[in-house]
Amino acid sequence: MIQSVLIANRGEIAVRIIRACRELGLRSVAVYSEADRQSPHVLLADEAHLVGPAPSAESYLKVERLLAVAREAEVDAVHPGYGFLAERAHFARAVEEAGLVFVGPTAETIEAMGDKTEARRRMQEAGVPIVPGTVEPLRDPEAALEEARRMGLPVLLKAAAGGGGKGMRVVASEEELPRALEAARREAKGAFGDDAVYLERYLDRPRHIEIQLLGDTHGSVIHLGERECSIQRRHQKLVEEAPSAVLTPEEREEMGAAAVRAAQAVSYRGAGTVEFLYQDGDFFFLEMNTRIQVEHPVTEMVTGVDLVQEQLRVAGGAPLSLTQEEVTWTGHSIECRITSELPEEGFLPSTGRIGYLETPSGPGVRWDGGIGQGFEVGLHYDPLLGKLIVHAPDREQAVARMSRALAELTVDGVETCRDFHRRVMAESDFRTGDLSIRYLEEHPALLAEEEPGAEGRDPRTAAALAALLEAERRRRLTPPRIGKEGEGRALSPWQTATRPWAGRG
Amino acid sequence: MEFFVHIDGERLKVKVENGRCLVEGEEVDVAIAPGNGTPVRSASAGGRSLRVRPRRKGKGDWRLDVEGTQYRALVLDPGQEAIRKARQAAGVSSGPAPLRAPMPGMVVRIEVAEGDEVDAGDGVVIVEAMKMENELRAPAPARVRSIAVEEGMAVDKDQVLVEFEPLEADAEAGSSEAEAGAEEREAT
Repeated sequence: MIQSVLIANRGEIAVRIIRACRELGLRSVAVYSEADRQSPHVLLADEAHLVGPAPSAESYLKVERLLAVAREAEVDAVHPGYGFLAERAHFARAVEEAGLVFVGPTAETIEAMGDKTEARRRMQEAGVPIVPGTVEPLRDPEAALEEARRMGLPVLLKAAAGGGGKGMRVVASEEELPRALEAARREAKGAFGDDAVYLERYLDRPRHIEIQLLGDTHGSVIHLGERECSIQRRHQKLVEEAPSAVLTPEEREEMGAAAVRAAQAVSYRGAGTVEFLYQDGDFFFLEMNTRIQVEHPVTEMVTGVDLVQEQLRVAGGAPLSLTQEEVTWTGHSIECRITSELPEEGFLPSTGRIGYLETPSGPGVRWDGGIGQGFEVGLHYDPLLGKLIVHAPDREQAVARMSRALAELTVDGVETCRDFHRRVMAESDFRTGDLSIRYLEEHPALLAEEEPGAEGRDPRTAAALAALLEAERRRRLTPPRIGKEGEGRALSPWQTATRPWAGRG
Repeated sequence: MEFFVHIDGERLKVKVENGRCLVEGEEVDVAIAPGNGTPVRSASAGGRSLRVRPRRKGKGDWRLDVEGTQYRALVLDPGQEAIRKARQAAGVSSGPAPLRAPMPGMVVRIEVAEGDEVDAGDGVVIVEAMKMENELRAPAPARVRSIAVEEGMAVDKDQVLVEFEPLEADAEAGSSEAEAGAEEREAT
């Protein structure tokens, strides 16, 4: 068994892991950069250690420094969270070589699944359906053009070492290809230090459906059903739900079994996710993520399984706490990612200090956050501020609950994408579950502010409120005068300070 | 106090007097409770209890979140309103606004050259921030007058990247309402 865990991450996922540690009675050791001294994960952990300056390359990505802290704090295990070093095989290896448990699969598994061409090859071998595409990475525009013609346009350019939408480009015409290849390689190089990209066929209206897996060191692998994450922007997920509105129990079983086969093919240990594109009953392997996912809570809500606790248990050598037959699904769960971005302005990042934070609560509402009042949102890290998750007996009630919860969420000091989520919850195709990964392209109005005259707008009341606020502000700023308006002398602030009624108009 | 409120494409005359509020001469039952130090204000309108989050972006320039619905309201007193009208009548134009960096980042690529004509929505500069490339687009048809940055250069928020000049046909036309509002806020 493990007794103490170093959490090599920050933000909401570090908070999430620390909470799991606390509940399991494990000592939690946080790390932080100079920008994160006052972050919630630092305040919440049993111990916290400074690892370096704000840029993640000098702090959260510094393997030697993290291992030095692990030794100093005498932990048994390291949980990488997601992002940062979570899917870096060299980190998993370094942790194991330091005699510590890496909370995740082996370095070999991460390596195999992290290289997307290798992952596809292995999946094909395990009998998991894959989307037609190139097996070799591409660098030359001529070769890319040839492959694109063979597959038929449109095609998708993807970074071989990628994830999170970076280095991905959809190419609809041959003319666009050379420029898109250049951009994808530049982004891939910048984000992963490797400019290898590959091409695959682009499905026109697929859904993104993924299967959650858990494996232990005793050879058991189970699946916990699907999550639908079709609402994406540049392959970054924005809204996720479980179950999918369209999957039949038979399809769930079929996809679950394929995912389990995929995991067994790489002797999977810990929590992992197999992502599929789904269209008209067909599904194709997209990639396997060898970590806990941002959207894991929706699975937790419908299955009642604490995935992070399960990760920590199996990392300590314990068998999974449930069998496939014991997995059941109840109700419907939705997650909205609350980021410091403005969808109305092309998802521009916003920065600032959180001056005020009010998170929703009430029945079936969960907030997994990484921010607190006074927290400075900068540009060093991911813009994810927190995740709003709801659970309700069915999808319709879950949508209503999410709308209600979003209206309660108040973040002041930094702009967020909250209003975008409100518009999604009200949109009719979302409400009926008619989704695809093209959802945002099909509904561009969701990325703009509401038009005047939209349902529910009341500009007369808003105008009255604005005038009252402006009048209030002017009264406050104008020194009150003795005598009639426009005459007499101003009272000094010393006089008005003790006269709270003065200056009220 | 009397105001002209520009909201949702309308101009509404609002009179605030002894706690009463008249919109276009018609009394509306709207009140706001004193603040309690948080950015959320409790208001009422015709018996409805409203949660309002006001933010002031500039002189008379309010953003209101009313129960989750967003409004932009430009609240001007009669003097400010007269100036605004006079400017519009005179067709005062400051020309197309320059393209500014919306956030700190690095210029990855410049997609235009000096003298190029751009249409609204054309890509102008790609700025990388948070490891994502953001393409900044031309807000309106214009000609590129000058480029103030180079590829690979780090830029601060609001730094001018590219300056535009009006296309010949547009040169005499008046500026849009929004620009006039912005200009006045700067001037006063």
